[in-house]
Amino acid sequence: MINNFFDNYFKKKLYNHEAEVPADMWSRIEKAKSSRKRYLIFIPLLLCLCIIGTAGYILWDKDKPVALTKTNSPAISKEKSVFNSSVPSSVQSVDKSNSKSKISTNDLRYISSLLQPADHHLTALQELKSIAAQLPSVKKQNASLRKNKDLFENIDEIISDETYRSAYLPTYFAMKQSMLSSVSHSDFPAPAKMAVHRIDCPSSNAPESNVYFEAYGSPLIGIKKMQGYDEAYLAKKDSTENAMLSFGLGFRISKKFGNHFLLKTGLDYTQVNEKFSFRKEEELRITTVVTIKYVNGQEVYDTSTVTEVTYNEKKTVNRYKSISLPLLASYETGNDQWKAAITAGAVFNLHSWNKGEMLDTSYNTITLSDKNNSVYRTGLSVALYGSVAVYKSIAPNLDIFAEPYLRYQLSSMTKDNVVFSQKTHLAGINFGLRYQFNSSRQHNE
Amino acid sequence: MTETDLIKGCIKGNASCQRMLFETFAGRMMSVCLRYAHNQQEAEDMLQEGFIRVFSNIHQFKFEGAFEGWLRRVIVNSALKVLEKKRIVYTEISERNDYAYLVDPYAYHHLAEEELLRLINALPDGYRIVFNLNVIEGYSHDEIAAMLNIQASTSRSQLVKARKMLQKQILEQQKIAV
Repeated sequence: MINNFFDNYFKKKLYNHEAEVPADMWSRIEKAKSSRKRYLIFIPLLLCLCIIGTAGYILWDKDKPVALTKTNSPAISKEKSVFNSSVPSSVQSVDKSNSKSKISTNDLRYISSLLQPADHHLTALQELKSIAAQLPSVKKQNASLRKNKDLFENIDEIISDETYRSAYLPTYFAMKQSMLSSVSHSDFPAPAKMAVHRIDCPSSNAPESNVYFEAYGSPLIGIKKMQGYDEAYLAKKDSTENAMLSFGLGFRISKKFGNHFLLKTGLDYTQVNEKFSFRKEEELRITTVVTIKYVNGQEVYDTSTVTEVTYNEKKTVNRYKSISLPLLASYETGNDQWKAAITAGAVFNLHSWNKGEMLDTSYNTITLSDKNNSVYRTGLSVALYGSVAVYKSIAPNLDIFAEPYLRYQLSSMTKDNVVFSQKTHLAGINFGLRYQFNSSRQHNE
Repeated sequence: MTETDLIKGCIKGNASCQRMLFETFAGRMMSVCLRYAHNQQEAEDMLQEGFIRVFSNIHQFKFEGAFEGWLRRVIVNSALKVLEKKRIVYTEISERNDYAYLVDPYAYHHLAEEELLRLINALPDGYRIVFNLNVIEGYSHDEIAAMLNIQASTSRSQLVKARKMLQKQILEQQKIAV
């Protein structure tokens, strides 16, 4: 009892007590608010840097060859011993200048196969001769390449002489590796490009690359479907919202299983735009004008009425944004240059947020924002995805593609307590690039 | 402009609405912060942090119940977050040894708000926080236990101790006055 009295006294005195606030407090709050906003801007930037960094690491690592000394193949050991014992001093000096040059595993296999006495290797050696003939026309030869030019000019000797063949070929491939890394493909005439490419992948049994990275952007359009009991409201709402061109962006990682099947996943951002325009009768003003005229000494009243209607017209662009995770299966077929694929799967919407205006059931406009949204869901929803795609190879490991698709929304995007349900299906075309990770990297590892 | 309009304006991010809202409630919220803080500077930091949280989370206000209650909760939580960094230790004491000072209500009826604030600020951290949360804000011991991650019995014992210390201080002041 005593305690209650004591407590109540404190509460009564202090609950609504007001203390003096420093005069600069509001400016301090504003400053802190803006600095936090600036900080938030860096989050997507950091995310982009992480993605670019990871992709850069993967690409860099892919090109990293395997050191000769790490290989335990008996054929290679043989090459090393022959090389050390019988290479002329001029060639040895060349090799020292390229002591850091490394040979990829594919090359080493190819070298070892060349060292086996078999007739079909002569064809491969002829290819080498062809490459050697093309190499002097390379435009961007740097100093070290020019220094090594002699080696390539002696290719005839390599082909004809068994001792030289053993001695020069390892060095030749080491040089080729260093040249390829310093000279762009565009510097080679077309036949040389083809020949070099063939030497990179000499064996038809070499493991194919089976991991892809796709990045794409797409123009799209939202196809809206609404259901509800109040058809008049739905018709009115529908008349105020008109679809606009929208867009999507995303990336996917694909893994190939067998020769034709791929599983794909990634992240997908879509922004569906919609034009909202609504004209509401705001005010009705009726003005009556009475004119009094005197005709033959008598008053005549001339009454006219003017009705003015004032409208309040609202026009805005509604934006429905979402981030989704696709889980897709694809069947792909075609040749080296062209491929066609059909893809199907599910798209899980991770988060949605909206901005704009819409009509409520009393035909008043309400504002939608990511912070104030009582109509649309922000959480998980599922859509079915179907597409056909065409891929065109534009460089080794790189394709461009076009992929018309349809995303059929399974669940309603409106909350349960809303009087109508709405689904927005998406149709669009993905245009993008597909990068095929190099199989040699996987093999080396 | 009504309070609802003001809140709606804040939800839209309207700076002038935010400022009006701040000016409406800043004095009372400053008093709240002063009860939890050790000093003026800490109270100002709590108020600043609290209002930033209010503006970034105001969309969560459902227009159910009084806005000031919601606002006060956010400010109190912000103050507790600041104090949490100080790793306050809440020691449990036995209630059986508790005895109440018999303080005549007339002994403290003359005390002004500032004097009461000074008495509360003189309490140890744990006592002060529990006393504020239970007696002034009206949280139950279970709610306090959940907020502070302590046992409800610890909250009760802290309150008993806080009350006893306050009563003792008031009695001593009375003796000095006499």
